[in-house]
Amino acid sequence: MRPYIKLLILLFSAFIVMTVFSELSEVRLFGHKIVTMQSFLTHDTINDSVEFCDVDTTNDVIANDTLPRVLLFVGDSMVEGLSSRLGAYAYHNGHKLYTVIWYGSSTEKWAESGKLSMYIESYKPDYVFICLGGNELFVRNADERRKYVRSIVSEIDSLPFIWIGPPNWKDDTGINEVIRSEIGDKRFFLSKGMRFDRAADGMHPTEKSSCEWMDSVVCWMKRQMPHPKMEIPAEKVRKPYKTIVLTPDD
Amino acid sequence: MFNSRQFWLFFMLFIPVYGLFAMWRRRTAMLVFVVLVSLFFYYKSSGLYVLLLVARALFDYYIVRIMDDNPNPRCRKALLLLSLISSVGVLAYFKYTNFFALNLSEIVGGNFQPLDIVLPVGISFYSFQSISYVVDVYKRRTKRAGSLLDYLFYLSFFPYVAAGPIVRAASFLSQIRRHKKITDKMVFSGLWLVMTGLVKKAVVADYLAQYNDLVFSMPAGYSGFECMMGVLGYSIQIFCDFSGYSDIAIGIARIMGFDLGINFRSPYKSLNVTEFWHRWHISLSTWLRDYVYIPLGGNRKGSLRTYINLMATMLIGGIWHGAGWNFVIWGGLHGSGLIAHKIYCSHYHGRNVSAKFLPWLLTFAFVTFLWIFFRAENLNGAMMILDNIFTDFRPDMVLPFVQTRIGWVAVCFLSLVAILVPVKFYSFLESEFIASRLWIKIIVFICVVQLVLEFSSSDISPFIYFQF
Repeated sequence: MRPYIKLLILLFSAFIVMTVFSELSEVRLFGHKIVTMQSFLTHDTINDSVEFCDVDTTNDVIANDTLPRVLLFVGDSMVEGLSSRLGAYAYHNGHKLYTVIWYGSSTEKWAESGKLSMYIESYKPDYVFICLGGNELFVRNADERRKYVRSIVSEIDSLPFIWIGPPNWKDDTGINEVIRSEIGDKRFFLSKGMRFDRAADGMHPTEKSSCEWMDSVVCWMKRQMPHPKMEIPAEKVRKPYKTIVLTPDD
Repeated sequence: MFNSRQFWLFFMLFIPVYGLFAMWRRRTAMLVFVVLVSLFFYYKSSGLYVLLLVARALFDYYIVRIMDDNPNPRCRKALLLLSLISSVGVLAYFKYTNFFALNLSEIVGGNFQPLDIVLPVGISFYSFQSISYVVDVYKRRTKRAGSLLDYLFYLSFFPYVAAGPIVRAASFLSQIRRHKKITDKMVFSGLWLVMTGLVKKAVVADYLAQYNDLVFSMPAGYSGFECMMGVLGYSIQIFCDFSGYSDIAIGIARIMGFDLGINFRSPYKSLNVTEFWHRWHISLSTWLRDYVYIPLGGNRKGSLRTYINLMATMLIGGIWHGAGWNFVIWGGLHGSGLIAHKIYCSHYHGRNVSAKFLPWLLTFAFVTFLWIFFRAENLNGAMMILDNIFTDFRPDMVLPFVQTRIGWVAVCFLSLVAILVPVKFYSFLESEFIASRLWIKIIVFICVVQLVLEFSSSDISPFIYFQF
């Protein structure tokens, strides 16, 4: 029994030290913020409680613009699934949709690259869709991303836009709140809490689920602000007018 | 489960109770307690499939009793076959039904919708244990389990039930009833193994996986060089992941006074493919040798038959890992490698190869290359990675890659160095840890836990071998 008593002393001592340590507000070592057990333990699975919005039952829409428009949809890998459905909307309603999928991208990458300004300059969109944050769900410096969100918004300048939040599969460390607080509820679609069928990687929604996700965004958008004509298309998916794919190292 | 906080909190409660049973020498009470804990853990990971595990144990135990008591060889053989068919049949149903039906459907042009079959955790492992037990008792290589409780303990023991190692009844059953004095050396060498396993899994494997997963999930987005780095990273990841799991399982068992043997013996130091399979997943490779290769005839029936047996064994080993053509190809290519090495040995027997670097490099490159088929989501993914590596290598990506992924490169390089460090060095560290004072052990343990916390992603990644 003696070896087990020693083992227990070791385990409990370590547990107590780590627990006390986690009560300290912020410990830094050579400028690096030390991860405590507290912050490690607080990442629990979120409660998936929000259902998809049903496009067909939306009545309280805001009057929309009926002219054919140029749409620009940029963001991380989540754009891949969403843009197929938005492509169908665009085609059905006479819009031209340009899509830029930057795999592995983050608010930081977009803000520092200046690519958004470049694409806005090239395609001259009337309306911008952004889907970013999926690669920053668990970053430890979520609040430091605020400046990147501001930078992205400033690149869009006066163009109307909406920002589709990342599809959380667990609670995030604050990126959703950072984006929402910077751009406001009217422009930010909170995807957190929606129930998605995930692809094999466990992160990206399946094609079907991505379509439902985009339908929900459109349905929500119609109630929030002036928007391009967005009648429900007959076909489920369609390729955007043009798609640009960027790799994580671009 | 070993990388979840719930497990370790529970383990802190488990050990005192287990220790009391050990101290009071209440062996039966201890067995009941551990079996209940094991079944509880299995239930937590697989739900009601725990009943399948219990049914397997009941079926094997009574079949073997009847078989062992029966003097009639034909009757014994029939019972052996019955047990084997049921073990392989259940495994095949859960693992291969959709695979075979899908392929059949493609051949005949049908429209097959995959059935909703969930693979119970660890079924591949405990099915193999069950087969080895029944065959060994049939061949009188081991005595049958003393009681149903002993056999249930053997089949469901929580350190290995989910992902191995595949423990043989001959070496384990005898330990169950033996009163073994638990020593400091046993407990702290077990703890050392647990710590090394956690570092391998949470610090190295999970960190490297972040990039590797990106490459394997969308290889089209990466240059050949980046794909090659992803493959190299996966080679290290799978070793650290699986050997890390094995270390933890063996370590926990050692803390409890059980010896599960060794499952990995520095496989990436191998100088040829045959040696690699003597060092990699030893419990599986020896199982395949003893229950597939040797019964097929092994090397006793001439060269050609040896090669066929080797290939058949490796194909079975490949499909054991998963129901997919990529696993078949992976197994088949390993079989080809083993055959090529056998042919080489038969022609150049006795030649002393003084330079070890080239054979090592060739072996490592071959094994790493084959991981592409093992890891890729499907055959197309594997071919796309190969296509990128051989037709779009883009050496200009080297510098930007190192600059942007300096952390990943550093972990990859250091892991490779650590893998190649002589075992003596780790044995020295282990003996120093065991001999150290308790407060030093506590500090080391806290440092390891902190390291794991720093590197752990918030989402706990399952061990790779859980899926098999």
